[in-house]
Amino acid sequence: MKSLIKIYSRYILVAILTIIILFICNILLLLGTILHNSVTYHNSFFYGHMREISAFFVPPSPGGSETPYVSEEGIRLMEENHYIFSFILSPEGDILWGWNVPDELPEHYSSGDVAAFSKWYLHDYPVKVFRNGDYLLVCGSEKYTAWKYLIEFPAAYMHNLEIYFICGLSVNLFIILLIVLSAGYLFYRSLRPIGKSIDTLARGNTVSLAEKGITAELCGKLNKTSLILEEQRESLNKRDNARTEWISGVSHDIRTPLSMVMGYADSLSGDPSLSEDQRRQADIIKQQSIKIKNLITDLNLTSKLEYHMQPLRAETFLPAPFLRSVIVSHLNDGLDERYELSLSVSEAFENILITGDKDLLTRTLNNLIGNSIRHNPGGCVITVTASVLNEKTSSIIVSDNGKGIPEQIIHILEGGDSPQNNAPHIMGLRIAKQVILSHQGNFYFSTDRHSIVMELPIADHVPAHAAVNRAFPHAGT
Amino acid sequence: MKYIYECKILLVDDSPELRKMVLDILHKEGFCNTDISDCCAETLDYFSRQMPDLVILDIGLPDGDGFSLMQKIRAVSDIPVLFLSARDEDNDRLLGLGLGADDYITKPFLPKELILRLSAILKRTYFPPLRPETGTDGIISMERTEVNLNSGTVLSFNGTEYSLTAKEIAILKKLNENRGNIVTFDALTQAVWNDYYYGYENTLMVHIRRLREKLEENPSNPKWILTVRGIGYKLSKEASS
Repeated sequence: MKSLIKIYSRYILVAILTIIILFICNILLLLGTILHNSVTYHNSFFYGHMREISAFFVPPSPGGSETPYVSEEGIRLMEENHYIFSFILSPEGDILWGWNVPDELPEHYSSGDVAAFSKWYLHDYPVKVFRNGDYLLVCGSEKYTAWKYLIEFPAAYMHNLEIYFICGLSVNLFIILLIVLSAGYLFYRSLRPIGKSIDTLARGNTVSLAEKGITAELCGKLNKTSLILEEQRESLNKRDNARTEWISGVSHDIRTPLSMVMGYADSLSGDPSLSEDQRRQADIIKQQSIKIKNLITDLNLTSKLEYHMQPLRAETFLPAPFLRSVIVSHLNDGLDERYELSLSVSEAFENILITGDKDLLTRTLNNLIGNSIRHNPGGCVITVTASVLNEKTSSIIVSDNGKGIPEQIIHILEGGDSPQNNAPHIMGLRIAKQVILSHQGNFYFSTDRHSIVMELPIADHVPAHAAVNRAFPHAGT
Repeated sequence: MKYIYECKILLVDDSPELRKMVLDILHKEGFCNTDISDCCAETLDYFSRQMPDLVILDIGLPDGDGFSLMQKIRAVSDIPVLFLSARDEDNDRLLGLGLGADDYITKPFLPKELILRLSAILKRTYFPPLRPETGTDGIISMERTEVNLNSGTVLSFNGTEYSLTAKEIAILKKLNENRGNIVTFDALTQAVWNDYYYGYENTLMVHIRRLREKLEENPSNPKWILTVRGIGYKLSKEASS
């Protein structure tokens, strides 16, 4: 579900980014147009040129002309600025001087005419006027080359323009954000069941979604995926069950005939009427039968552990006394003097509790100690070390100073391929690993291949004061 | 009935070969009073006529399972039942023992194991020991030192007599029951204080030191009460060097 929220926030981010980029683009575009305008139409659309032209206005003078006129340079400037005609009006409204004045224009203008064309057009010619003393200089451009509008706003409106602009902008932003957020949320809501179902599938459960809305097809595909996964899981389970049951059945069926082999071999090995050689051979049959018996028991157990069909008979117990009892049974059973078995329990390990199947754990430890003994016929020192790693984990290490665990075995147990033809007999180690893993623990080999490390979760701690309280009343007795 | 060998044993198993072998084993060990049955119906019929002293029961029988057969037997009699089955599942073992069976042996088994377990059941049921105590007479001798657990006294090698405290007696008793074997700290605190070892580390050590002062010629180099580091103590059978 986190990933959906991530998608949602990414979407919002993209939307906001889009708005900002759009805003910047618009401003750039506007600036561009203005720049373009000012470059292209520079010459004819600003009133400043009229001022420049009027600099060449020559008023009437007692020694010169009686009427005002515009000098040659002035006319050249007009041409440069795309004016096509020009004239000068007297205060009475008569044309005193003209240049290229079209025939359709009258010679005389009333003040109303002047007011009209100075604001609008003169016979559709856009014109500009410039006052020069008592005279009025009028310059006209080609018809239809300019639009003229009267723009007039109340002063109060212009005053508030800034506020209107900000309000408009924020309303726009708000609406855009509202649309983006709600569309995003709707999208998120329609995806949420899909996200949930993917989570459910990932956890190994089945899903069934209603196939409607924009996600109908996705839901349908998910339903189908769930169905396929379920079928595969079932068939896998079926196969695992069949395999485990088959092994269990075979091991069951072997037991009765093997009883007879063991029983009769045992009685033959003790039969005084047989020669010593024959009795020795019968004893070998008996010993080998015991090996077969242990093998089928192990095979059965390993297949059950592999497919989680071995129920853990879990109880919570103090592991320190448990370890001592396992070790002491080896010592009391008469450990060959070539071997030395010692136990070291850290103080912190004394007061922890772990939850587990004592039978299976005993078996695991016996397996490991037995391996050390079996694979080091020349004798070795076996050390079991128990300690607490942290609040939640305890560690039990079985190590010896013998020849070490072959690399090949470590490779196989750590998930490597098992070479088909010469797979070493590692059932015991495999079971040990399975047992520890089924206790949510870790099982690994030390790098020097002389130790096996088992980490088991700590279930609880015995409160220290309880122990002290228990101990003190007896301290003097 | 004077000996366990006189007990009548009924063997219920559907495999004739196995029946023959078990009977051979029983006869060879001296249990001659045996009967056989190969199914539930025949067994119940047998019980309606007579009572054996012990039943060896298979679980997989042609006309039912041993568990329900055992419940039917229990309805009419309290005789000991020993399961002998090819089923090695923990569940089966627990079910069998939970129903009140006296033991559960999985096939394949060693004949010796069957005989030992069977004899133990018979002895327990029909020949209970007169003294439920450990059977020792309460005297522990360690060459020149002698301990009398009943009176709680030690006659030391140098002729001095010490008396033992109740806890010291309890410790010695536990060690003596397992003489020659290691007794874990846990087993000792359980026997003496009826509690876990955790918290008694020093207490136990102090008691052992006091015991050594009374029993050992050289308490700092004990020859009888030996420490097995990290595990427990051992009362040696003979003076160790």
